[in-house]
Amino acid sequence: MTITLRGNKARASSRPRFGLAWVTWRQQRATLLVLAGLAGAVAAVMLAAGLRGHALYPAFVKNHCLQVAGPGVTEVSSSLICRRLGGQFPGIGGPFYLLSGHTAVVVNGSFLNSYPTDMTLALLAMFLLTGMFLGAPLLGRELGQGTFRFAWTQGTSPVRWCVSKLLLLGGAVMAAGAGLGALGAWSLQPFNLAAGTSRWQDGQFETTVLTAAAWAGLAFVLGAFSGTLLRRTVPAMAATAAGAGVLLAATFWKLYGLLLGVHPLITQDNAQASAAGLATTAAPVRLLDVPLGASAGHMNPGPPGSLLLRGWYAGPDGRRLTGAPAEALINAYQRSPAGRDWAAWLSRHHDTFLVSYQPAGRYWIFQGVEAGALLLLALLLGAATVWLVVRSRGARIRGRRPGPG
Amino acid sequence: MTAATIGRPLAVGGWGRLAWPAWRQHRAALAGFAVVSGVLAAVMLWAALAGHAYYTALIRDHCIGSRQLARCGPLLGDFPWLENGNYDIAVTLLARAGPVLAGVFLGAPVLAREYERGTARFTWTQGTSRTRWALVNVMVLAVPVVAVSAALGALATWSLQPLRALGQASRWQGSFDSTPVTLAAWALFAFLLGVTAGAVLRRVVPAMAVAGGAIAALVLVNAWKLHGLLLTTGAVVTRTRLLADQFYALPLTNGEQFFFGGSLARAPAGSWVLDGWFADRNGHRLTGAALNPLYSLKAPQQQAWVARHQASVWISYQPGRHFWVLQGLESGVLLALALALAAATVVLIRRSST
Repeated sequence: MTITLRGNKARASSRPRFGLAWVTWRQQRATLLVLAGLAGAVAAVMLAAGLRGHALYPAFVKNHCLQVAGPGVTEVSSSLICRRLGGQFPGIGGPFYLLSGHTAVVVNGSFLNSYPTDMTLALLAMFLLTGMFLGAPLLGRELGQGTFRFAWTQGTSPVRWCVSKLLLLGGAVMAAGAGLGALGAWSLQPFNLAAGTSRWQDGQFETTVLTAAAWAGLAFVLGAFSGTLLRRTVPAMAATAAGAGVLLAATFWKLYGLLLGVHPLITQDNAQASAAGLATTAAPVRLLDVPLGASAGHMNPGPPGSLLLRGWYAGPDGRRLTGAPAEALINAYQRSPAGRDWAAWLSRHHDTFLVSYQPAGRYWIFQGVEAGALLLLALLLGAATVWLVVRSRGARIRGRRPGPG
Repeated sequence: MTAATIGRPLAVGGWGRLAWPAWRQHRAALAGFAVVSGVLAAVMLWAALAGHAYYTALIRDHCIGSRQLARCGPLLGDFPWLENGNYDIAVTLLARAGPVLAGVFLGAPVLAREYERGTARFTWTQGTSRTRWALVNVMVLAVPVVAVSAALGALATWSLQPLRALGQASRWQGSFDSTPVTLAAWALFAFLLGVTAGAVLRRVVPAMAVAGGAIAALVLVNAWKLHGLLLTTGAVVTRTRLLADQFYALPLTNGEQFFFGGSLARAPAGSWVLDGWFADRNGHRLTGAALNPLYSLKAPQQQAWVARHQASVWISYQPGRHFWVLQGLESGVLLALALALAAATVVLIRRSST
């Protein structure tokens, strides 16, 4: 490789961009091929799941197998055809059964019990691996082993050498991330329609065409930055995994909720009170101020396509009920012989259940904000990487004495 | 390192003399391992203390399964992990990812780095046997890996107890592999797989990639298939009866019951139900269209249907007393594999040319 470059210097410099691209490919081809193979495998699984789901969903609709939200009850048809169709959805793992007031999804002993979760984890793990195995050794190995001294004598400045590598590989990584994210979102459409999941859920929200591309690019640049900073491959890989892992954990734990909690709309939705579980005590729930979440929204969706955030009671005067008044309300309902129509009971007593939500139209705005923030972070890290390379001892030596032997 | 250490052949001081340079070489890895384990331990300790305090309060106020919302409602709102079982899932993921990380970052570089840099050749001229050199290097990391994994497993088990007592998590499922026994066995196996990959490939990054891929594949196959197979080993099949719908009265304990549409059947406390089915009067299992009307019936009608058709209800389950037997079985298989890997590594090192 290197001998060819030296021998054909004139030709290589006449096509400098292509030359650097070729060198980048030659140096990283083993890693790139392995990562491409992994991405291909993940894409094949998503394609298979998506095709199956899209083929099954019309049959679900035709046979009336979709969940139906009634007052206080979510009903799922338990006919043989529905149980068979439900069992065929990849990864759901078992048939739905009708229970009075409850939907039980029987999961057959799987650890991570659904395709949506598995898919999200697989994509995020792939991005981590890209940062570790492609990003961390990219510049760190050359700086650590000293081969950069040779590379910079070939008529390429350190800045261009560094920027080209980052842009070429980063662009490819982001394109692959965007493709996988788009394919994943497409494959999840039937699940969201049939199985009570939502595109607003944290896992799906972090792996759309925009956010997947941004996470992939960020993980890659974080790897390149760690490699340049530490100049040793294994510590750089560990730092990349730790850094990206901590950022992902923080996002899933707090940042996602903070972003989607910005300036919600509020509307009255008495039917939601029963879907939120207030009329049943089988599972402990927060009674006074209920986090509803994305999956609760499917059972009793509120405004179409929206993300329900929180729900609370308001008295006839419109004020939020907390503490003793709210408990009194719930106890009064439980003592009433009115059956389980919680929504109607609330209306009769002039009480309301209010929900805060993000409307469907804001989905791509939030996506853009998150992807933009991640990309900005990636750009900053990329600039810091170039700066580290430029001010490194090797670059300064080259400036004084071009082409050291 | 003192001048005396350098001046003498390493073998003179025996194992201890070898351990010191090994510790010096791996202290960065051990420090990283200690930091990550410490953070995990702190999080689990916090979860355990908060969970046990909460559970104690529930018991004190008689709020488990209670419908007295005015009294118990505020208390029932205090335990965020109960929703969606997030903590259980997080522990499960850690038990999956931890061994992979141990194999990739601790196991794979141990020998691969020495080969890659050529320092192995120097070490072999110091009068110590290759086997002993390799064993000391591996043990310096393996002993902390096993000890810390067992401790983290104990902490995870303890922190999950309140959730299990409330029926929100099952020891048979995700956290089956985060007990002290299985977590330590998985960590040791994964670590040694990394060491072997390093001894075979002799280059650090490829060894890390291969080890990570192999361990992750095994972890996933275990989660998807092998664990299910393990749980069917020695399962008990018994005839049982349907219970009336009790959803509003009792805290559900996942895994101790099987849903038959309208009603459910329960197995003894602490067990894990694998399957449930109806059999006709001749004892043949009902399948297909025969079940269609049965599953859409509510509990009382279902019981009447069973009586009218002289049918019977069956469940197969794994009783609680089998738990530690199955834990031992899984760990034993992993330890046997780990020993085989260690033996293969020793053979590889002895045969390698300098």
